Amino acid sequence: MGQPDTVTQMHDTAPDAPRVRCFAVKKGTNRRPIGAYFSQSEGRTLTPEKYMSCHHESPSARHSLAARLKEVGEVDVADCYQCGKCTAGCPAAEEMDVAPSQILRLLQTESPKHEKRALESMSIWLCIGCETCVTRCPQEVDLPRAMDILRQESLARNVANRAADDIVAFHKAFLHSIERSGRVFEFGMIGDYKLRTGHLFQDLGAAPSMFLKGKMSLLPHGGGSKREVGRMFARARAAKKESQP
Amino acid sequence: MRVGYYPGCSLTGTSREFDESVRSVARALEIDLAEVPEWNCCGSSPAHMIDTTMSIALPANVLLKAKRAGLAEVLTPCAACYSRLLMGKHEIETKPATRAQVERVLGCPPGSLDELPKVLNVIEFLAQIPETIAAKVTSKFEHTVACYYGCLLVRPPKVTRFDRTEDPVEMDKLVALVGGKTIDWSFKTECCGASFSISRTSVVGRLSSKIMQDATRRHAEAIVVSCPMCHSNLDLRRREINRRMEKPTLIPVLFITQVIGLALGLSEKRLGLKRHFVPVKLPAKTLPAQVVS
Ligand code: SF4
Ligand code: SF4
Repeated sequence: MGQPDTVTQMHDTAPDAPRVRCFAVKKGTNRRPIGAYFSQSEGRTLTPEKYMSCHHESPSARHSLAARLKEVGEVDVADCYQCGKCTAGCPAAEEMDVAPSQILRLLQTESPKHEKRALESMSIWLCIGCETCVTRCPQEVDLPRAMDILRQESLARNVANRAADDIVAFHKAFLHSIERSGRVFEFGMIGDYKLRTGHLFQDLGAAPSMFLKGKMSLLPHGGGSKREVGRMFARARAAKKESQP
Repeated sequence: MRVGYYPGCSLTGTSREFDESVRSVARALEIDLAEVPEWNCCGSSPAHMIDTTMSIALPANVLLKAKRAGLAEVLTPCAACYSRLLMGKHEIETKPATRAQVERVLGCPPGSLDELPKVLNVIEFLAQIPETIAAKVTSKFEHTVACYYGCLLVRPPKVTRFDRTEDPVEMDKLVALVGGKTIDWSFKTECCGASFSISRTSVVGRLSSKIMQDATRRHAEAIVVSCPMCHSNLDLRRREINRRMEKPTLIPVLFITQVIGLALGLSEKRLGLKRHFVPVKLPAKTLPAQVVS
């Protein structure tokens, strides 16, 4: 029953191709149908060698994302049997272009085409990190962590969906504020976000009342942790650079 | 009684009233809050979303400072900080490679991150001292409210180990302790849109309006929360919410410490009640006496 060694095409299959049902086996559990059907038609199935040789991508892409998720996040996408419970309870599914369970399905195939679809999706940026999916998943697949890794991989490969620019800008402005002042300084952070996105007039209605209510200060409030946190960011960056070939 | 205190960034800015009410309630209950010296931001959602290393290193640094200050427990009212501190600690305790990496980022000697302090949210902290609270109640909080827990107090249960995952009750018990009544409803742990308040306000409007809809339909007089993000989404984003409601609503959103503070007879000013966007106006006693007792 051949899933592990063959890379099969998921969608573009001939209608008359024989369909084979696949099973995922999980430690200590029964064999379970993974719910999706694969086409095993001759000629469409690539061996791993052929698959490796016909794709020339950046070095980081040569290993599958599934392998990377397992290595850095201890998330095994093969554990997912596509029941769809994660998607059913996901508060952001309505806005997403690829459902959370489909993101895992795309990674299960290990096909570069599908991986690209996951990395370029809006879904990885629309995930709120609410942890509902992993809490309810019968297989305890850590989807929020998978999303974290996919977001970072998507930024590293420079393929993040442009429609997510403002979300990325918000995260960057926030981290930048921490790096500079040790804490988040809302006024500076929102200014930074506005400059990064050009959303100069958004939320101007809320701002004056926030000052009046004493909820936003014009000056950074940081303790003495400022320089120390700056150094932490620098060391983390240096370590990252060192680990990359 | 002395306990470590990590307010976090939101409580020094957008959610100052949460900080004010925690400190006022602690003072009234004779609890000494020892603020973690020179604390830094926990990294919140943006760190775990785009920088995994810093998402563990930032909370680790906070806990290391608390440990060095001799604090065995750290009270963390903000649910997002609570979640990041717990997650960071969990990663360090369960993954030796991560621990070594974080030690390098922090520039601290190996072994420094052993036995980090315990992290407590404000509900579990107050739940430890029910008698102390009950003894100090001067004016019962005689209102019917919806306790809204949000995502991060209860999830993921393996890490937080707090309350019942899908139907938590600890906050409801605290409200009952000070004389209030809570409704049974379906949105206790549904997501409000969290950190999308600025970058995707429409998502917050859609998710938070569903929460508001259910609470008002069941006649809650207020929503009680324990998270600055939940508070600002339900309070500050009310216009966005009301646009999607069948009938616009003006029910206030209170922090659990404000509810307890009111029952302890603390002033509106000391509880920061004036800082809310939706004015905190609760109907006069609406509960029949027998329900309260
Ligand atoms: S709930 Fe778990 S097993 Fe089911 S589809 Fe989602 S990740 Fe896969
Ligand atoms: S963590 Fe992300 S994918 Fe999972 S339920 Fe929440 S929003 Fe959806």
